[in-house]
Amino acid sequence: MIDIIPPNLPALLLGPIIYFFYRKSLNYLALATALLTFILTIKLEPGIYGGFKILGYEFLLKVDALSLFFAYVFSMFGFIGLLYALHVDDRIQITAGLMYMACAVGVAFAYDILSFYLFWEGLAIFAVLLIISARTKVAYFSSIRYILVHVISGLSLFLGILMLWIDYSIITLENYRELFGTIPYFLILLAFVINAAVPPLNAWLPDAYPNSTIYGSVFLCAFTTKSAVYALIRVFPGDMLLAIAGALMAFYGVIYAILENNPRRLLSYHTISQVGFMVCGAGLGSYEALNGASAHAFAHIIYEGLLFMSVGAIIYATGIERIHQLGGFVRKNPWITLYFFVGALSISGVPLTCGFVSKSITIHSASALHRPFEFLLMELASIGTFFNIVLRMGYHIFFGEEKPYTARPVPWNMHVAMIIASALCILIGLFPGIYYKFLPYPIHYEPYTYGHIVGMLALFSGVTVIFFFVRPLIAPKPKINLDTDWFYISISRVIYRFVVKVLEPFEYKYVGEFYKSLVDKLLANLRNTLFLFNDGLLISLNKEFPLRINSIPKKIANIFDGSLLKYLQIFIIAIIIFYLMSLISF
Amino acid sequence: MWTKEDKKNISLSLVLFIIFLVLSIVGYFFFPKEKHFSFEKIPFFEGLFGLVGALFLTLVVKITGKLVSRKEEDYDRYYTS
Repeated sequence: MIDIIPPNLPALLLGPIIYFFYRKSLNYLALATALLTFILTIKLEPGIYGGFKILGYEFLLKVDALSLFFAYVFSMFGFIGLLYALHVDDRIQITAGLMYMACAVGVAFAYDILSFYLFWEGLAIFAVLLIISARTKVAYFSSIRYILVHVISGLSLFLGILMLWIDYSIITLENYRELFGTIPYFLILLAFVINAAVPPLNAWLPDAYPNSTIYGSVFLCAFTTKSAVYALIRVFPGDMLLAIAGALMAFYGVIYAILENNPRRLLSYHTISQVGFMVCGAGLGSYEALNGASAHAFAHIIYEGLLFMSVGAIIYATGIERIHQLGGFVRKNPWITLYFFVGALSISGVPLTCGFVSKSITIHSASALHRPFEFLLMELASIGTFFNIVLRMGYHIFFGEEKPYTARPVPWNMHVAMIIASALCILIGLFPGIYYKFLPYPIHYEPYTYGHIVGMLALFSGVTVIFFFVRPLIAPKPKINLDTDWFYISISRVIYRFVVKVLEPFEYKYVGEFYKSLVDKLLANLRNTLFLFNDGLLISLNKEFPLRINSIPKKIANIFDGSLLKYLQIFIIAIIIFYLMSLISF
Repeated sequence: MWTKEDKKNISLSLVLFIIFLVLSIVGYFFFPKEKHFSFEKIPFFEGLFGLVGALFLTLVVKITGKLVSRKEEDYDRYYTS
């Protein structure tokens, strides 16, 4: 029998049901399921649980402070995101959002590597569904690129865990530091690093997030990268390469973000930059740094979600998605402006917000470990974050020259979701003591000291002076910026042309001729046989069945009207019934 | 180019900067904090770092922009064809 109910089980079971029996009112059920996930997560006690078996393989759950900390924020943010999307009448976005959250919670609790791998792949699948739900040509192409990148990540993880299983008989997710230098170590590290979007493997992130719908990008910004951060903290704490890569990543993201004109693409680059702080924290590896990475991941999900939600609300209200076309938005909707600035001040780490109490732990641990390179790069990234989001984006969207556009009102549920996220940002910033109690490792850190507060504010005041001096130089222009995906897109294009222009004609001309006799003799005969079978047996059945249809009651006969969706619904019900029966027999 | 508003904002931010200059010099003498690197011992290090860092970032961004920025109309040529 199962020891506990896994917190993501209701969401995993109800998600398909909501999909197949979708009505707009079922959005409330999805919201309630996310809330149930959060409640079940709160009720969990630390320990290792099992008992759920399929074909003799036992799935294991590990509940400890680290996994609980991440699961809290995943389930909480799933609730906020679904609340934000409550008015959407689209079965894909609602269910993919719910299942995406369930998979992220699953990654946080998975202890055996197989279930970890399954949830890891689930993250990629539901992310692709969220991207493609925009139903545009651009989104289609991005989702194809997203699949290709994440297939590499998933396969390298799969190969890694198979090698661990066979060569080292390791079946649980532990700290793999003692395996350093072996092939599975690097395979698994590669998978995590791709999902954490460490440059030069980062291009899928700013490619996909802005091309999704505004609701899709709210879910997307929260789960994939942060579950990779969780995995890095769990499996590879203290890998010095990660510390350097993370610091460079924080800087890289900020540089690209300052070049951007598309607000969601800009925020995507800031996601890369902020995840860089966490990767650096995981790489530094002291208890304080790991705490900093976890705390920053928690805060980051909330404020980045808030920023994506407020930018999404602007896009919803105006229909414009270019910063240079916006301006003076504060006069159209002061509330959204307020939410945006709470998020913006949080991401740059201004005192009294959650960014201040979480980001400074990582930076402090870098200086406590005497690593000036990481310290300076992270400080530069903080400068760039304040410079870009609060000053550049805040000035050019909300103030500055007013451009001609109209803004329609935003639904109540979007407002409520943004209010909850803003309140969380400020509450965490006001009461860091309570927040630190949930951290996975013991911590002795006081963010609110005179030197720290004045230092941060002095830093930001210096940045403000420079910003207004150079503002016209870095004003948003209608430009796009090529990222590292240019390399693999170009290479694939060359390969594609080679295949179409050289290989295909060659195959038709020579190889095709070679197989012609085989096809003529063998396959044509096979086809004829099958054709006979089809014509003789199946057609006769087809003819007879309608003749007997009168003997079936009309209600049952109506079920077989050829609607594929109805068949799938019956199929799902049957699967659930079988599943429940199998639970009883355990 | 620079507008009238920018000039007002520059003078306002300079006032802020000077306020924090004074505050951090007060902190330097009365509220000493632990310092881990030699460069942190410079009085008002954070404010100066903010100035220099923001200038440095602008420079890097302008150079990177020259290398990677393309016209927006070219999006389809790079990404969806």
